[in-house]
Amino acid sequence: MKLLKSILFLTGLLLFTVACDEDDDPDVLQPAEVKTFEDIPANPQPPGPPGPPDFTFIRFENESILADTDSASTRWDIGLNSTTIIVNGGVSGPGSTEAQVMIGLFDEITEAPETGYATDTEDGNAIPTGNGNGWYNYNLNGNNIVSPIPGRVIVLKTNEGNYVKFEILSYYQGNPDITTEEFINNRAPSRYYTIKYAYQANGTRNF
Amino acid sequence: MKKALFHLIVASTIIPYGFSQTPTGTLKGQILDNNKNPLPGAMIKLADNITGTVSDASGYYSLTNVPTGKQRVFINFLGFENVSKRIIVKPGINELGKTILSEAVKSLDQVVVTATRSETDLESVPVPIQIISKEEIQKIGAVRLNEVLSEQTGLLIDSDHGTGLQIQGFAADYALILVDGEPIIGRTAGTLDLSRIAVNNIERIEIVKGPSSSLYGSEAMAGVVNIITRQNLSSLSYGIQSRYRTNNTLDLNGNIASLGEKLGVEFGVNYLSSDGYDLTPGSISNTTPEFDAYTLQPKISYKFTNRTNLSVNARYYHEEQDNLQEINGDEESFIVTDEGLRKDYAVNSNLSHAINDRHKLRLRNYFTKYETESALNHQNDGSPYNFSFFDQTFNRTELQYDAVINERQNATLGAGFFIEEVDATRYKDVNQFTASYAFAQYQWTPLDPVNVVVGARFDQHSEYSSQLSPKLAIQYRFSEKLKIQGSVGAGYKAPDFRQLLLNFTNPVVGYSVFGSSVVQESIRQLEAEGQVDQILIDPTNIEEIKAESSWAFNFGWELNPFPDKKFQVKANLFRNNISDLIETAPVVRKTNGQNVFSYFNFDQIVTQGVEAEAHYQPLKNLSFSLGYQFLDTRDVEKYDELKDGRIFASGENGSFRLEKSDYRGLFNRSRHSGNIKANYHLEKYNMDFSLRGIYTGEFGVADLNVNGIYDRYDLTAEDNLLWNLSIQKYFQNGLALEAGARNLLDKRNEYVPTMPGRILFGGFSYQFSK
Repeated sequence: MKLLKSILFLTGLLLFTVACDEDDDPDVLQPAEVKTFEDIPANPQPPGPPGPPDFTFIRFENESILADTDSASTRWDIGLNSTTIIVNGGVSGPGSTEAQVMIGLFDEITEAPETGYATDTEDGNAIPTGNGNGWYNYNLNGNNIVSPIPGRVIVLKTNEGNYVKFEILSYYQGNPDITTEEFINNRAPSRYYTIKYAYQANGTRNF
Repeated sequence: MKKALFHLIVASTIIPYGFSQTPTGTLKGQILDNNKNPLPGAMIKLADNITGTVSDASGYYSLTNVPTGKQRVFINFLGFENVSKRIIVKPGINELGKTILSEAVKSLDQVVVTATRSETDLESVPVPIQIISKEEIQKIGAVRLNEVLSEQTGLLIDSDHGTGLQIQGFAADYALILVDGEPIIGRTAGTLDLSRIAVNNIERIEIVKGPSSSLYGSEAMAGVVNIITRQNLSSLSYGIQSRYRTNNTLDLNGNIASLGEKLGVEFGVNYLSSDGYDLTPGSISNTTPEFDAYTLQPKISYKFTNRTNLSVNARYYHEEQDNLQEINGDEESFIVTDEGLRKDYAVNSNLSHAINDRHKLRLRNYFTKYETESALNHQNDGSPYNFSFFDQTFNRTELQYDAVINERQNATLGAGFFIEEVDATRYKDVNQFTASYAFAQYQWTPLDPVNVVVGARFDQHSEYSSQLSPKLAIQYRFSEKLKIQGSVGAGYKAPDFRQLLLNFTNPVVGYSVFGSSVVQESIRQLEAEGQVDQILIDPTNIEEIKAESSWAFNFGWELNPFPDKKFQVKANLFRNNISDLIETAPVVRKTNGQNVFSYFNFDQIVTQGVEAEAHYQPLKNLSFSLGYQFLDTRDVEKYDELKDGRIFASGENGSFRLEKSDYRGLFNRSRHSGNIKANYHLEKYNMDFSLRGIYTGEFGVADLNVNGIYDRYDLTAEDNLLWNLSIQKYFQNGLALEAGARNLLDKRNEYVPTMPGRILFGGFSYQFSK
């Protein structure tokens, strides 16, 4: 009987301690909310010869697209122009944004790495461009389709020092299934990003 | 009662031997072959192995002193299937009538040349080998080599840039195709198109599976197909053959040959034309274009003395194709005419001299050239749109020495050199390569049931690292009923012309690909032009490219539970470990943001499986066979990545991880394939019926999620079961008629462009020989 009592007591104590831990520091274990930023137009071209590079600047904190006049500010995180992604830092912008491309699953990256970030330089962007180098494959089976490389997650350290992880789900308007015959024959407009992301506002590396 | 019965049995057993006055009978009959020609010299005997006789010049025999009652008669003739009959012998004359012996499918004295490069008894070759006779080719009504090979167990047709051959899970690049021991050249993207090769003039086809680089060098990594051209043995023979098929396909053949005491001359001609066919009605291009092709095969041999022979075999092939193509330009699309020309020719000279019974020398020279041209012109005004060409020549000289050391030991030594030249639209300049090689082989029979073959070849080439290819094969015959054999050997495949020489920049996208022999120079030029943005791999540090190489293991057995080979089962287990596979990788990033690629050795793959065949001949004129291959293939590094959880696929809500069970091996490999065949000879009307079902399992077509592997979410082509039927009717005077259908049930598969719908055919042939 005595033994049973002590077990009950210890179990109760344990439960209380765990509960207290959670209450003690609410920010640390607060997971970042997973959201989807749909159909971001990344300089969709009218038919005809392509115009000058025209980036679409986005800010993850409030899931917004900024005006072109904000291009010289530190308010944007990344800029999108067709398949090229720039970060607000280095040669691309006045900010201090850094990024790295990780191999893995979005849900499994629960903590941003401490090191390994880069910004855009003369030698190349933090998120490399080109087929198979960064986030996408081109020419899916001879059909000239851009498809996100499976298992690529980009982790961003913003100008404010907050961390964002994101995965590009689609490059086509409406996030269609690009492997169907229907899509190949009658494809949706390209240069529309759908991005799944989690923005951690509290400055920690936890997602 | 029991005792009485016992006495009766003993008495009836003893009486025939003990008392000479026992009544006896005489057996009479005639022995004929399949074509109703008499067979002199056939052995007719009883189960006692004592009473026997031999058939006379007209095939007649008369066996006297045969004890009356139940008897079993055995009729044997070398090279023919054995026949046994149960009869009840009566006193006096017993008329047994005509007995027809069919030629043995695998007669004891069948000799093969491919496995050891010298004439060897098929039964004692310790490696997996398959023989297709001219009778079999005739029976299935085949016109081109792909039709013959596609019906064989373990051989699959790859529909990539023509009809290529897949052996033991290797792509078409890795099969060596020989005509009379010399290689056919001219591959497109690695595929040697088997439909270039007419089959009317063939004596037999020998297929050796597993690597034979120890004898043949490059490309003999998956196996070797050796086409032995027709061998005329009569003083005069000639024949014609005509066939007509669906799609307005016409096949005409002619042959004439004469053999004298010293001089032998042969000439074969084939003409094939077709309207082609279209499996995609929506597109303007035919799936297979309209074409016409002819093949000329002159052959001459001269016997200087009984010991010295010269033979010169030549081959000329000429093919023209016509098609249309739709070109999608930036602003509008337009139609171009597409005219293709393909030709190759070859001269194979062979001087052989037997120093004495034990030592033989062979000096061979082989020259061959392959040329293609493709001209695209605008359909509306005929103005040129694009022109490309590809020219390749190959010249080889080789000396081979065969020695019979003693009854149990043979040795073969050889050495040679070759010069290759290639000139093409996408290559710079005319490129010449030189290579030399030497090989040695030792065949040993240490004990009667044991055969050992050990050999090796060393190859040195001007463009890639030297290669040593050893091989060891052992066979053990437990009895007539069971034999086992195993072999281990190295195979290799040289980097092809693209991998060495390609100098190509995509005009639309702007990336470049340079072959390993030209990459350094090409990058220096790009640097001088200021086109280099970033160097990813320092071109001066690029190692010399190596040949792709493999180690292969084969283990097989053959079971003949009945002495007359009525039922036979054989199987072969194989495993190939292939390393240094050549793949592209980026070397330089250009200022336009695109990459420059070159070729490197990095991948490793494994193919393994089992091939099994069963033959059953319940009646002498009825036979069945069943063939099956299980194939498992794997990209070693990708599979490791998969096991480590580093391979993903895309889903609607982002990527997910793939498991081992999602893996499906390499693309374009059928895990299961097989065939079922039935052959029936209707004696009364002298007709042959042949029905074959050819099964090809599903295979991977495209990496839809671009994760570098074939997984369950990728595009898979459906499996196919094709039924082919052919019927032959023979007449006494050398005339024969044939009719049949290929793909009887009209199956189509959009991922197998080389598989037309149902093809009906009919034709006749006439062959005379003196």
